[in-house]
Amino acid sequence: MSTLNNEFRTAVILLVEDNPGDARLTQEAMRDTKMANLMHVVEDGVEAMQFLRRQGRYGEAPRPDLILLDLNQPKMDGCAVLAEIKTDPELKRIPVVVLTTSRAEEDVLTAYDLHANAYVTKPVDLAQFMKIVALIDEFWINVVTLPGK
Amino acid sequence: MTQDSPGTASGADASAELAQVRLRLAEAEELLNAIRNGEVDALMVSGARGEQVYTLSSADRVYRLLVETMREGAVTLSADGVILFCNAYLAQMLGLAPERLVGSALRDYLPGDDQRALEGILANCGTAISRGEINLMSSAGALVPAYVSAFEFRVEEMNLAHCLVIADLREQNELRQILAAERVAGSIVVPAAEAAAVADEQGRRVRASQAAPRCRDGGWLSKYQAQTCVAALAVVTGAMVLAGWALDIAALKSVLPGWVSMKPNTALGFILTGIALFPSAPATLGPGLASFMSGFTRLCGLLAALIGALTLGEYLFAWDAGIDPWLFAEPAGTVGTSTPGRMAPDTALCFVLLAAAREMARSGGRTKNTLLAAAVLGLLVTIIAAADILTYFTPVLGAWGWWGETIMAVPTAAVFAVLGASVLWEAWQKNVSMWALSRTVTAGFALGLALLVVAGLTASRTQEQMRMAKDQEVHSETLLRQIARVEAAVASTQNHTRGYLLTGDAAMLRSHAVAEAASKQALDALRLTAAGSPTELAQFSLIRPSAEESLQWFRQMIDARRSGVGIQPGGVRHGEDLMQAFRAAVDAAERAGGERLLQSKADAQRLSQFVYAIIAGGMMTSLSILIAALLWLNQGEAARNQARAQLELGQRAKAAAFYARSLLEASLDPLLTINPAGKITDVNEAAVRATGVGRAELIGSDFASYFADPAKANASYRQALAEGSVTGYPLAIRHSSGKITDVLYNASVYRDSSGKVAGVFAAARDVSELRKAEELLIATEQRLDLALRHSGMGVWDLDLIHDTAWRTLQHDRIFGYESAPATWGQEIALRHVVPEDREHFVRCFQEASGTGLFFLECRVIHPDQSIHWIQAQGQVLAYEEGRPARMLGTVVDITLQRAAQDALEQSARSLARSNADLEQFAYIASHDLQEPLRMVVGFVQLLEKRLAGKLDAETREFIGYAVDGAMRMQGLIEDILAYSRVTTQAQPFASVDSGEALQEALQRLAIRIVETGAEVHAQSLPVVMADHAQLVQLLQNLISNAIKFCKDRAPNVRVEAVHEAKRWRFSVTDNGIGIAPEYRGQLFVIFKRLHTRREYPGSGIGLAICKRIVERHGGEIGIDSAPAGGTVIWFTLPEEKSP
Repeated sequence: MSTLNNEFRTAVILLVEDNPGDARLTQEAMRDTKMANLMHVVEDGVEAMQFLRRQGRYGEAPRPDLILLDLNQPKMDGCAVLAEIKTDPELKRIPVVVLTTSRAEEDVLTAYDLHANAYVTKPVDLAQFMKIVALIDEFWINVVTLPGK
Repeated sequence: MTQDSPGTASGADASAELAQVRLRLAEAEELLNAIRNGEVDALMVSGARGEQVYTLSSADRVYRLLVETMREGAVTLSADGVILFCNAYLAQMLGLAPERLVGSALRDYLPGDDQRALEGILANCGTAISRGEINLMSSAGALVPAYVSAFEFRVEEMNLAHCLVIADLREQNELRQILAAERVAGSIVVPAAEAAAVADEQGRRVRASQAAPRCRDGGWLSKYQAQTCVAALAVVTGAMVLAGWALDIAALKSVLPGWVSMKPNTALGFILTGIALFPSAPATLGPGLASFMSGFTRLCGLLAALIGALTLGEYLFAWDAGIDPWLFAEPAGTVGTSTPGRMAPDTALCFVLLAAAREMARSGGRTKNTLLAAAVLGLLVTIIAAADILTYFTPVLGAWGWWGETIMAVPTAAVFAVLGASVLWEAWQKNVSMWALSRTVTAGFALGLALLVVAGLTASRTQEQMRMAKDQEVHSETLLRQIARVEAAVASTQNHTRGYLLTGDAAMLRSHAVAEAASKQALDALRLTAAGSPTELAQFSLIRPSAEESLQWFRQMIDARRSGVGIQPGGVRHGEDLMQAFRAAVDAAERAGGERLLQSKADAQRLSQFVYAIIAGGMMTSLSILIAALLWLNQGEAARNQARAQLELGQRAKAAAFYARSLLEASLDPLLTINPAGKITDVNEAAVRATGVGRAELIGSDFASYFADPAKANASYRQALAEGSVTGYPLAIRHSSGKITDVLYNASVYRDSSGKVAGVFAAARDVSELRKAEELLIATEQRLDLALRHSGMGVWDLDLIHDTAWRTLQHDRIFGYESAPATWGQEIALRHVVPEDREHFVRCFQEASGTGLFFLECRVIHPDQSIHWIQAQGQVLAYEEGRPARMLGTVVDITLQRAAQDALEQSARSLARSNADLEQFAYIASHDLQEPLRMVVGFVQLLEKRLAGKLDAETREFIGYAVDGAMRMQGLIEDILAYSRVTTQAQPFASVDSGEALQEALQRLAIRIVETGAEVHAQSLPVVMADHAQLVQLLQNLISNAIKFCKDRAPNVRVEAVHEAKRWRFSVTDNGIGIAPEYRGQLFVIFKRLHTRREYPGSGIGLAICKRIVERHGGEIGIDSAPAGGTVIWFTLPEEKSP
């Protein structure tokens, strides 16, 4: 089902972030964009998979339109999650933006190798961070044509 | 002359003086006239010095004549050698006119050397005649050898003069040369092994070698003397007999009355054959005449043969050719002649044979076989003649010869014997050199042959006789029988007559008639039988009349009775008397016949005995002769074989000797034989070369004198003599040029055939090359030894078949042994290897058998239980049946190296570990450290945003510092991360185009460059060995700095590279603020800043990172001030490694 650019609609974004602080910041940034997004936050990769597969307590979980993934995760490593998502035939269409603090070249390469759709380094500066989030939002929800559900 | 007389004053004295003067004048005139007329030979003058004699030219004439005509040159020389007089012969010798010679110096006609010789000769004339040979030079330039006799004499108080007689030696020299040549030729020809003879045109033998058969010397006549005599004999005999026939002289025809005469044809034949047998005329008579004569003689011979052949034909085919009486006719009934005037068959045969023999000897004289045939024919003729002569002396002489034909006359046989012998001799002489059998053997064979022929002839002749005797016997028996029959018939007639007379029976009459007829018949038969022989006929004529008389009387009586006339009273008695007489005659005849029969029988017996004797004797004799000849032949053959064998042996020995000699000469080692006295007796070519002394000199010299140390050489020689041999004795031969050659001397004693020591045979082997090689080997071994000792390498040589090993002491030391263990091998080595490495050990050996190369590193246990690492390398040297048989290699103790290696490995590992740790740390830093920072910064800013209106400026300032601090923290963390990554994320060097790296760096700085309006210039930058990412970072940092530290103007950056030895020196020049020299050292320290952050941002890690990168690349980095006031940062990077 396609979405016209002008239409406002509510996008579902899944944020995989173990640091609650960071999650909070991201949410703040998201709120600032004033876009109609519904952001779900999971704290680790395992839960992320459960959410995506609608397992466990996430039986009724909606299919997200965008996944924001932090690589540095306990339990299941971000790269593993990425790999899992991108190999799952049902989930691999969902765009994944790796949003992480690491600027390491190898991380970048690894992420792209695993078919991440985008890799963004989280800046320290809040203002910048908010700008980036807005950009992500703008781009991925409004500009890009997302695959239908 | 007259004495001087003093002068006088008076005129009388004057006239007396005048008269005396006139007288003297007249004397003088007389004298002069006498001299002029040649009546005076010499003058004797009494002068003041006494009497002197002068010979005058008239007397001189005789001498002059002598001198001029003699065949030598005569010359008189003055004391200084000028020719005063010379004779014509000398002038002729010199080829000049005598007038020219007189007055010139004799030495002008001599070549230089001869001038001196002449002077010598002249000087030697003293009292005796001096002689010598010199050469004169004729005007034509030819050298004339001459013999000079010189003597000196004084002439009238004049100076010493020389008189020379010069004999021309040219002719003498020529003769001398001829003689010398003759001598040489003789010396060659005479001892030649082959038979050779040299003859002049007359056929005289000039020279013959020793081996040439003795041929007759002398001229033509003497050579053929014998033959001529024989031919003459034949001709004369023939002529005499013909004369006898012509003149009818019986003595010439048949020598003795009872002998057979020589027939005219025979005589003619002898004449012709004699002519034919004359030897060929000498060539001196001229070729035409010679050939005519030879043709003529040949024709004569052929004619004789023709006569003989015709006669033979007459005999064989009983055909009368009419040649018998053509010369003279012979009356029939002559002794021993079957057909009058015809020659005996054997005579004819002999003529034919002779002619044939002569033809063969003459024409086919070259071939051995024809000569042989001629000889055999001659022999046959002689044999036939001899056989015929013999028959004259044998008891079987009958009137007839062969087949009852004419016997050969005695003179005929004699002449034939001689002719045959001469032909045989001639052929034999010509052939003797080609005849291999000795004369004795040949003569024996000939004799045997002759005997055989003679025996055969005699036997055939005897057989003839025997037949005749037999016939005679039969005849005699027949006669006797017939006589008996006559007697019986007559007796029967008598009986019947008596019977009739008594009885008057008609039957008796008839019987009487029958008996009478029978008597007559018998008488006729007897007559016929006796007809052949006159004696028998005579006897028959005795019997017949009495028989007939008796018969007639019987008839008469019967007739008388029949007619009735009575019988006379004395009739019967008459008849009886007649019968008695008849019987007596018959008895006589029978007796005679019986005697003849006995005679015949006896003859036959005798003949047969004779035949047996002949046959037996002849056979035996010829057999024994043949056997003897065979034995002789065998002996001769044996001797020949022996000689041949000897020759072969000699030749083989010679060849062997030659072969042996050539081997000795070919040997490259000097070989000598030395006699017991120490002198060299024989050398080979190599010995001559080695000593540089000629063969003749070497032989006989002391052998020790050719060695550098003669005493040592002698010692070796003595040792050889004492022990029988000496080997490998080191000596040094001294060459005549002084060069010394090291040799090994082998000598052994050799003995002669009686076992006595004959000397020492020595061989020397040049070992100078060997010595050099030995020295080289020793040197090489020394070096090897030294090298091994200092390198601590051990060497091993493994025999894989027997599993034994040769090894150096160092090898054993490597295995922990101070002294060499008794045995070693692969198995023993394996036992020393630690158990874990044993499999590897075995595998390495297996690999080696495949590749041929062996490499092994393993641990071994020393006897003191310490473990050492060893490295062994080797190579398979020999294979046997596909498996390696021998391996040679080295072994070295690498425990220390190994330990070092291990330590290295360990440190490398720890380094890797620490690097990994560092990386881990860096990773953590990049994530986990930043997280809290973000929290701080983020929420503080969030707070600031939330409380935007509620906060005063001071509070906002505090928040600002807090945020700032956190931000800075984050930057530092990032910088530290980058700094550490220079090593942890170091990539291996590769060829990197620095120009490309620069472009990449500029791309990264694109925004800044645009913002500041900076210009970056770079010339062509080289390819360097570098880590690409790090080079980019390096350039980026440097250019970023150059742009950053620029005030009030657009930054201008220049990047250059200059090639230095094996590296490139890059420089980044800016037009920025520059750096004071005193601060330059600090700049590369991490985090060191020269300006506050307010002035120029940055953590201060940029240059530290640059330094780390450059140092990691093995280069250097530094700062200089640029001329325009800016800064030049230079650094070096290694150049691209050429492949």
